[in-house]
Amino acid sequence: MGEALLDSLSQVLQLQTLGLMLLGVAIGFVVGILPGLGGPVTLALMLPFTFTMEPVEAFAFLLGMLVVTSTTGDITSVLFGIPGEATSAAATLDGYPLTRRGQSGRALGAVLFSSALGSVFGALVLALSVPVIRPVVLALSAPEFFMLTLVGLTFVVALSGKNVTKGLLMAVLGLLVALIGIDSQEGIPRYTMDQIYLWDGIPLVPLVVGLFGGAEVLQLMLSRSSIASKASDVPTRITGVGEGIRDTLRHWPVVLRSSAIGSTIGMVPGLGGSVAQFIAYGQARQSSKNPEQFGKGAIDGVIASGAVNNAKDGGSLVPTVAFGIPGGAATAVLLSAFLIAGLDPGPEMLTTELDVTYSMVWIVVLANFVAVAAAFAFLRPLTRLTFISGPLLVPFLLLLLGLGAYSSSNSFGDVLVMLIAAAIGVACIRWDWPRVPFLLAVVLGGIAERYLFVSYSLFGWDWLLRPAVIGMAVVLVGVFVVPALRRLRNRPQTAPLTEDVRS
Amino acid sequence: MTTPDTPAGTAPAAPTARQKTEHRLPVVDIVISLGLAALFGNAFWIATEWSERAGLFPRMVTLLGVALALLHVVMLLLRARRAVPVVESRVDADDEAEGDVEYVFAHAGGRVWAGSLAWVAAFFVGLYVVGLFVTAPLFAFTYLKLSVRRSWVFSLVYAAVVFAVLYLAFEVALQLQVPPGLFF
Repeated sequence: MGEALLDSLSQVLQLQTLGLMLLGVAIGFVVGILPGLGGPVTLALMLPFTFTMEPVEAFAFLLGMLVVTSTTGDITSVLFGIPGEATSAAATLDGYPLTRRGQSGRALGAVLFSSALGSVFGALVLALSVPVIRPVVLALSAPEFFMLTLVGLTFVVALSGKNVTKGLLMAVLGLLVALIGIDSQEGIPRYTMDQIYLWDGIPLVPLVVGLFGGAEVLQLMLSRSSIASKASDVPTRITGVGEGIRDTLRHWPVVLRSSAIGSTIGMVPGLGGSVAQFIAYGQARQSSKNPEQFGKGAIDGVIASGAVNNAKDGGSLVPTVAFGIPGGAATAVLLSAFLIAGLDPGPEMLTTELDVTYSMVWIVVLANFVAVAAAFAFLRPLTRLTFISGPLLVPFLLLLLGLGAYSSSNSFGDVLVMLIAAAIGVACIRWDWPRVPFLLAVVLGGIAERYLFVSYSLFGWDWLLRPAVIGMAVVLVGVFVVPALRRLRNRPQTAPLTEDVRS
Repeated sequence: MTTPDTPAGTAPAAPTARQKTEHRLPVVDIVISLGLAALFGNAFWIATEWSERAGLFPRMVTLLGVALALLHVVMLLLRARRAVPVVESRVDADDEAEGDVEYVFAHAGGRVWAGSLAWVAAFFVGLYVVGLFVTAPLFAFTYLKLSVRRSWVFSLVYAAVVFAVLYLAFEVALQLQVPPGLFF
């Protein structure tokens, strides 16, 4: 393990890789602060530009960008009470009250430093989980991997908080899209509508770009908003950063507990950072000596929010790398990057491509430390970015959409796929149908069919009786049945039908 | 960008959330589900013509799709028959920052929608006809001048920057093939 870790560090420290990581960090930094754009969207828009990169370079660029958006999202949460990312919402609860009391520097120092510490914790979890998970992954064969794919898909559907039936339907639609193209077993064109373009299947890059980028561009055109509208929105003096850092060190148990919560929940597909942040915030309040201060400017609340946010990134990489099951939207897009780089998540990532896996550990840590150092150094000028209104970004984002889609195979067919995917993405958001299960099913569809085919070829239908397969089938059914039974049991007490509308 | 929502675990159950009596048919959801049922049904029918090896997975998937889509329609119809108050509480439980986007899409007026879609359509028609090198700066200038109502100088400088980035970053540095248009 030690040798592999050092080997991967030397790869990350190559000049070109380091340069790409810094470029990713810079983009992530700006994106985290700018209105309308989020980590998954930017990741999708940047995916096409990694075609010519080596796997470690591609992940240095993409992962560097992704992990930094979590960190910088906290800055707008603290300064303006508006989270730059959905996962930074908890930081507003105590960060913004501190800003209103003139302690913005202290809050920023605490949230950014705890973010850096949280990222180290998450990266450690990723590094240490490899030797633990490797024997498990290597002991599994095609039937178990097929079931794992199904379990991962259903977890994302059932736990992501969307309407479960809608989520399942979107997942099945994604599987149908994944079936388009020449069948690899017998060479039969499936659902190609006599179009040669479709023989290779629906290209992943324009699909991801359209699904996530299209809707966001349209939103910017429709909303015309910026985070801050006048100079008085930005605090005139940002001092006390050092005090925030000392607060973080003083509250180290909060950092540890929140990081543990973040990395653990990050590992569960479907839950993601939005849930983790509030669980960590809740535990910080429970264990605080001053719980009454929470919501009014408790520094331990800010610290918990910062630490959990970045620890979850390392955790969410564990199932993505080991089983090909992403934890949420961002890792689902990242999973596409694996396939584009020619990597197969699973045993390969824990054996022959171990250096790529460990390089992710270093990228998470280095990118976060660079981002936090840059944030401390350029805090005041960075807040100027909050004056940029959404529509100003539209021409440049449309350029990225068009170019990103076209460069997939230099074909206007790809642009058309991107536009159709964008229309699907917009419709999904408008009528509350989830996009992530759809994307995940498109990515996992081909892999699932391959595992099913190998299972059937090797064992006939007997593979269904393997103990691990039965165990996973029970989990799969339980994911739906247990919450349904619980709802049924609770119905008499909560007479009105409660419908959670989750976004 | 998101607006801060009530924490997942602490979302109040009843009176603070919007309260209304739900008796309407969710027409859009029903239409989408029926459309999906038809799509999956057609895909299943096509898959029956393939050999077992090539058709096994498609048949499993499409049959499941038909069943789920019809089940969803039945569930929506049953729910619509029950005239009970629906309590909606917003909870962010996803990594996606969809809350704001959903709100914007639901509340933007018809004219704003039509205008925005027209701009997007103009960009992609331009991309197809005259290519990205002409479309990107031209679109940047006209969009900023006419829609965002920025000054001539700002719009011109922005258009020039877009052209420079496209040429230097994407064509020269990354050596990407830029969409050329019909005439080039």
